[in-house]
Amino acid sequence: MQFSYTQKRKELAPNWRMKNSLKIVSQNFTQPLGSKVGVPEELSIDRRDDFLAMINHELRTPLASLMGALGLLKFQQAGKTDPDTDELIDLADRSGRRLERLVDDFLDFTQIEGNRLFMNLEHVDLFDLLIDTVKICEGHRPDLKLVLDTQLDSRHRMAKVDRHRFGQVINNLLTNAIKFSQTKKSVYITLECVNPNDVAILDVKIRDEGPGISSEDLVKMFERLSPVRTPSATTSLSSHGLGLYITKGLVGAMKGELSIASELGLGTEITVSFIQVLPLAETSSHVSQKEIPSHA
Amino acid sequence: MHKILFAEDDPDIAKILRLSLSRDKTITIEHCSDGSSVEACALAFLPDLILLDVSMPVMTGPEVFTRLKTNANLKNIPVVFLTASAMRSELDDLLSLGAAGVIIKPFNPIELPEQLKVFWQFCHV
Repeated sequence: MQFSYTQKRKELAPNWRMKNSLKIVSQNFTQPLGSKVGVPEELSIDRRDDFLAMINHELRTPLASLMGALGLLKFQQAGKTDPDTDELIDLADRSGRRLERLVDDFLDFTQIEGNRLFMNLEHVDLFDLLIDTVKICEGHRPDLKLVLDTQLDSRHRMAKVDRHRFGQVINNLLTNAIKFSQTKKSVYITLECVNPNDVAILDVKIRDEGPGISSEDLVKMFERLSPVRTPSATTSLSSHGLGLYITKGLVGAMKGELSIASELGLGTEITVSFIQVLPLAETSSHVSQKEIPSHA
Repeated sequence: MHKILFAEDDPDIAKILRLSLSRDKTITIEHCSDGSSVEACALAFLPDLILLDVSMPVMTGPEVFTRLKTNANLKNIPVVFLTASAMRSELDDLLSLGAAGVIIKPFNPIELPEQLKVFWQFCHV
């Protein structure tokens, strides 16, 4: 995968416009406690949370054995087995990691559902974090020969977020964009500031050139476990909504905003937005975020 | 040479732990399969570090931890919890007990020996 990175100080890429696009904005996340995950309706909220925590625990225990055994096998057999055996061990390891991610997603899901998501909000340099996250995603799907086009405004980069969770959000969105891209296409990652002279907002946009999403399916995107099928002549792609649902929950818990715009045949763009803050060394305790002057 | 006592009731995970830790020739290991035998085993083995599974029958990891802290010969041995719960609140609770660290399952069996050594070194700085 080709990774091209440009740092534009004055000009960003020409605005990308879609015709007939639908923009759905999700504000700070509030989700009434639901019961659509197979939990008996009659359980109280606390007992339901205990039940879900127990399931999470029970899933991790055999997963620990599985991943532990595979990790040791992979290490011990490196270079000693035939290529087919190596490939089978790699396949099992990848599947195990995928299962591990699903279990992690399940935990996030239960915490979001129970409004128990813990956030460590601090001043974070989104510019650096985006660079690091994009580099990690470079290795995804090398067969697609994608270009990750990153254009980040270095003048506006600080926001109050949970570092780990913000990285998780960008990784989720970027992984999705890559997954739904076709061969030799580009995925665009931008960081820009809106309203620099007022309450400055940092917009992180991730845009793919995939098949796009219909307006009907866009509405469903934020629903739990909502599979969305994208049209394609050669493959039938489906996306389980858990990832985006979790992403929305994480962004909301960080007091951010998530919006999505898409058009069939053109692609999809997801924007996560946060209020800009100045680096800690430049602030004094009596100045609120809204009073911080914007950069010139 | 580091002496590590680990308490884990699940036989499969205990096997993984044994294979993982015994790869490091600077580590000597001892295993307890339930929490109630940890104190006696620790008094006999005198480990440099104790790895405690949180969820065990008879006595849970935190219960064992509390018991160890009341024993003058064992209270200063660093304890690392091993847990299948990744809930932040529970991890904070375990650390607030006074544990040297918490490792979440599934763990990396190749990195585990070094992770435990780092916890031990941190406690002895």
